[in-house]
Amino acid sequence: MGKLIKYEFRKSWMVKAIILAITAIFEVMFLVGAISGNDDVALSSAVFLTFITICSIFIIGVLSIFILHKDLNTKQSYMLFMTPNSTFKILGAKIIENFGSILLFSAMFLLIGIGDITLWVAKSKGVKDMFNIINAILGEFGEDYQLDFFNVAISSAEQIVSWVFTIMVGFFAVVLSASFLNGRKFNGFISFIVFLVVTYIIEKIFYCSTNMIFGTATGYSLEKTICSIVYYIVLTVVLYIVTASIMDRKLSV
Amino acid sequence: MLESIEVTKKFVGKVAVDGINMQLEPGHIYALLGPNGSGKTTWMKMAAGLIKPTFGEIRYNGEPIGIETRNDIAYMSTEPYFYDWMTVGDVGNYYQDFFKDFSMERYDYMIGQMTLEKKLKVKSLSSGMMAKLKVAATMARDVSVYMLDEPLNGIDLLARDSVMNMILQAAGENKILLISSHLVEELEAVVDKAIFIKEAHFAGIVDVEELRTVDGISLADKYRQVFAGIEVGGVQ
Repeated sequence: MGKLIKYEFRKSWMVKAIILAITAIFEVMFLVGAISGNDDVALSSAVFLTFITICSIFIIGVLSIFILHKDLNTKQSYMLFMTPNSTFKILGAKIIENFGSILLFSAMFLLIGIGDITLWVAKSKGVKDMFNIINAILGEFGEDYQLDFFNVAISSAEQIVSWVFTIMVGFFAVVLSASFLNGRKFNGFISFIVFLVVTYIIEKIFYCSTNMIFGTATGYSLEKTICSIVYYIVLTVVLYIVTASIMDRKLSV
Repeated sequence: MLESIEVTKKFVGKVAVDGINMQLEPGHIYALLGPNGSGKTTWMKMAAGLIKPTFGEIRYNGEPIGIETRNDIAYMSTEPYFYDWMTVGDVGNYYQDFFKDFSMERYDYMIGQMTLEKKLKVKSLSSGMMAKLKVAATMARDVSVYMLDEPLNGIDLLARDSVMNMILQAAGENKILLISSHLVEELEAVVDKAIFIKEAHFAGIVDVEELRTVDGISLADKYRQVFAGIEVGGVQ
């Protein structure tokens, strides 16, 4: 599977390299601004870095769905499906590469963010003081909100896992379009509707379940976040098995 | 032995292959002949495991076509299928990564013979050069079955001989070589069996030598007979 992952990365590395280059430019601008005391440069760079963070995680996910679409609907599909690899391996490599990329980019942006905020807000006082300042602000919203390394990490993990699940739903819709709906009118539109419906149902089930178990579906709690992580991991695995099985039995490239 | 049992493939609004029964034996070079849209490519793709039959089954040595048989069957599509970012060298590396039977030495030799350079970008290749590259990548594998869909498409007259020589070097007692082409006259000199596919149906298999010596007609004449219903005279 390692070789499949290698080639999956190769298909998307150009976009990732562009993201890294843009991030590096704005990070250098931020550092120059922060160190030289040029607030305008530092703040505008920070805004762009925040924007890049959100966009790049979104772009990496959407790009992987686009690559799968291309791999199933163009002649390049032969490159994957003429090799002696099962559909489970082929799809698994795509998910692992995508999850790994999102994880690495998220970790990178998180570290850049912590570093930059520390430099900007806490100056030489360190990360702990920074968290104290933010916690004091969050305290205004209620006692449930407490920002520390662990909570930041677990909340980030929840966001990553739920985003990977959304991408998995995208994979499912693309495979549906290329197999059961192949050659039929509006197959792209129908599969997009399937994507929206599946995502909505899964979110609704989670919302209702947490409401029932924890009494509320809103707000932050560690238990709820851990449940959310487990919920999305299980659903991602289930949807992966279903999608790979459809590819195995019904997909013609 | 490659066996096609009642193989049918239906697409939306079209039957591409309809109940094809046939057997391909090792030690032969087969031509797969038929007009455009007759179902040749669809049948080959099913034998390569790229398309799933609607009904019926293709078996290789008793095993249904699947992941394992991809180790024994090499398929070359008529359309270009390499990734855009690849160079000629990358194509070789890709095949080496996924096929244990791939010989980089043989690949290097063949691309050398076909005057292809490893650093050339795949998307910059002309259709003729692309056709040569596909042949080199496929024939550098050491498998039991080679299926080549229109391997001479886009290749100029002078280069055809060298490409055909490369293909024929793979022929052997234990190998099945199946070549689909519209260039019936070109194939006639190299194949020993010809399979006709007409309007999605199997329309017969002939021994090319027998055709010449017993029936006294060429493969091209037989082609005209099968597909245009034209009766032809014997070969002088």
